[in-house]
Amino acid sequence: MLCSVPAGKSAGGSNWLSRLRSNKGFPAGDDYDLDHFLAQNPNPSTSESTQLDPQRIAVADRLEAPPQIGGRVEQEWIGVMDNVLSELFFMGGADEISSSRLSGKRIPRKQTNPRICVTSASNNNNSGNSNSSVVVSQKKKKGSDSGPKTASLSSDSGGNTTREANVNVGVGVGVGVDVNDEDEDEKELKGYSRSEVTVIDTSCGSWKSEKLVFRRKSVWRVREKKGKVRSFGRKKRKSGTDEYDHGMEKKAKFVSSDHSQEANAHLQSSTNPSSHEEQNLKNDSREEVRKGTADNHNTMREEVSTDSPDNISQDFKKRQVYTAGLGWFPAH
Amino acid sequence: MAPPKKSKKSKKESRKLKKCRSISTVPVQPNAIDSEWWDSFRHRNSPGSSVSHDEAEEFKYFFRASRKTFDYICSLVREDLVSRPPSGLINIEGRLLSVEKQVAIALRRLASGESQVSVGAAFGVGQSTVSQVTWRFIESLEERAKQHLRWPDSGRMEVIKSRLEASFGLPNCCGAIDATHIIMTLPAVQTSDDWCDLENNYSMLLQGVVDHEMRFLDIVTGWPGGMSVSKLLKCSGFYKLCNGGERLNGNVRTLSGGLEIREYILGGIAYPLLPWLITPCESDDLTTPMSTFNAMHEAPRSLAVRAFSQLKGSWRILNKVMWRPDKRKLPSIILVCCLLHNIIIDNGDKLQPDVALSGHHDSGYGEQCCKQVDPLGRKLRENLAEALSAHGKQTSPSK
Repeated sequence: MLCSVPAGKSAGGSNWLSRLRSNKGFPAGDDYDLDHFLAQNPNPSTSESTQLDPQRIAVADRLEAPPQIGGRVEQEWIGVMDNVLSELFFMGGADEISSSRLSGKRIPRKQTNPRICVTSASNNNNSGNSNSSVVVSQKKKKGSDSGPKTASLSSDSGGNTTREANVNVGVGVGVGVDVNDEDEDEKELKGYSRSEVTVIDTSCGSWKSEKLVFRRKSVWRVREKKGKVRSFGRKKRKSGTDEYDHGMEKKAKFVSSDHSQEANAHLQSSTNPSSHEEQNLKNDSREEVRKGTADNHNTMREEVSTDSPDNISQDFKKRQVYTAGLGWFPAH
Repeated sequence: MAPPKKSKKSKKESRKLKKCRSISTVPVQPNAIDSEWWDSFRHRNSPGSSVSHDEAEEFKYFFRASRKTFDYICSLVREDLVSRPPSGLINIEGRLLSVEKQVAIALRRLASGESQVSVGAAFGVGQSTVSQVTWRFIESLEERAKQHLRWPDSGRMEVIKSRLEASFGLPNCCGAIDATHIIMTLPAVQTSDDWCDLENNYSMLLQGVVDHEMRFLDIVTGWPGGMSVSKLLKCSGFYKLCNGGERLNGNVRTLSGGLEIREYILGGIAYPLLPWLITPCESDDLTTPMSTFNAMHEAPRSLAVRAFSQLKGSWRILNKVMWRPDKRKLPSIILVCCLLHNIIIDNGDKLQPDVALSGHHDSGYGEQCCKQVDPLGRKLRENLAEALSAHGKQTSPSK
């Protein structure tokens, strides 16, 4: 099972590729004979790690036992579970890890966007054995990726990770991505489109108020806009994602003001002008300075729903109406 | 690193001072009433065939208000708009814009609905100045003219009721309600079905209750055009106050025969029939009293329809398809147009009938029909129909 690594090559300070190969148990030298290697040694790292990590011996034994019972089935299981796990974790090969080490960057263990995988739930229902095989197959990968020491660490955490993964999957299937207990209202409103509106109502104490409007067909629900509006049905954001919002805002601003805006046209705030019409004319350079400071960031969280094809024709119609009086200012 | 910073700062300060000095050399007389702008504006916009040669009428044509009302509006916003160096707005010749000229620019922009460039050209200022001046004016007026749009106190309500009864024969009626769409286009990133109305326009709704003089007593705006008119009503503070008994809760009128009529307003078939909101009766086989009632209901109800036609006709910015307006600012624009509408009425300016839209304020929109009927509303409607029928037998209703 063990592959024979030419001592001379690895010890003789050959190039990094050879060292890497020897480290990972691949044949080094010119004569790769990979077919032979793969046929003979489908799992070199496991066998290697068994030598190095006593804990792994037991695991490997457990892993190796089933093939005697039903080797083919087990192989399929491992294949399926590898797919499942690779959705949840970075299961990249040695190249990924070694390159990340070289660059000094750590690759996060979890995938950034794990996909919901129903298979894992059914797998868990099947037997405890399959669960253990999940752990093992993961360990196997980890071991092959990062050597004995890392393998032993991951073997400690592997069970936990799997449990965590299952929890994630469960949440993903049931509720969605980012739902907190506080947001029961919003949970109810799943499937509703959402708009932020500024309402002026002279029957209210304060005439002007910000509201959130949720709509599904003819059902409308209105909420007072809180100070900080939680994003709904979106990816969780880290606390320091202001740059993201700024970026989005800038982008949106650019898009919305891409064409000369008669619009904002309709009246720019002296404190918050945003039309390109103004910028293009450069009548007042002060505006550009103010521009970056003003807007309410929350407004960018506005959920934009369907983009009706009608708006294209409508825009077109409008342009026809206005370009005559306005002139057309090119976008930047 | 510190010394260069310091020097930079001092440089900045000295530059600032220089700027102040240079601007302060501009002639400033903040309280002086500028009337030159009108001559200059008139000169630039020599009246066409459609404009009267009477100067007062000409002024009204351009700004929708008499000179007296214009001065009153200036007095409302003077404190906010007066140009003080170094922040004051200057025109192309480098002179500070007077309050009068700023108000004129803003009113012309709202009244004509023409592009900022066109309005700027008419006044000899740039598009950006029009934009800034108009928005400043709106911000100022929406704070300083609130007294022109408020629900009347009981004394004033009695006057309204008596005038409406005198004109239309409906006892204890407090006004009429209607709603209109302010149509706009939206950039693709902001488009949403919520804003898309039944006619496939993106629009914002405006609901208003008006009195016998077509003065707005209550408005609500900002809600997306995808809402139905009845939903808009239910989202309004007015609805909550009326339902809670805090509005339209004045004297109950007892008619001969003991019929009790509480305070109510009139609405079209798009509204639900409520104890305080009376709609016409929709039925194939109407009784005679109910047919009479429907006929008598229509005239006072159309006060609201006409008010919106007048509003959109006078302040054409509301009647044109707004191109990608800022949805947070649009309600303020709408509000200010309503305030101006009321200021003109309050100042006794005769509204120019030719300014109003010739057609319906919501042309192209079919009237929605709300089937909701409240039993108390139905009872009140029946009482009204009965009373009108009885009254009609005695004397024909005065108009």
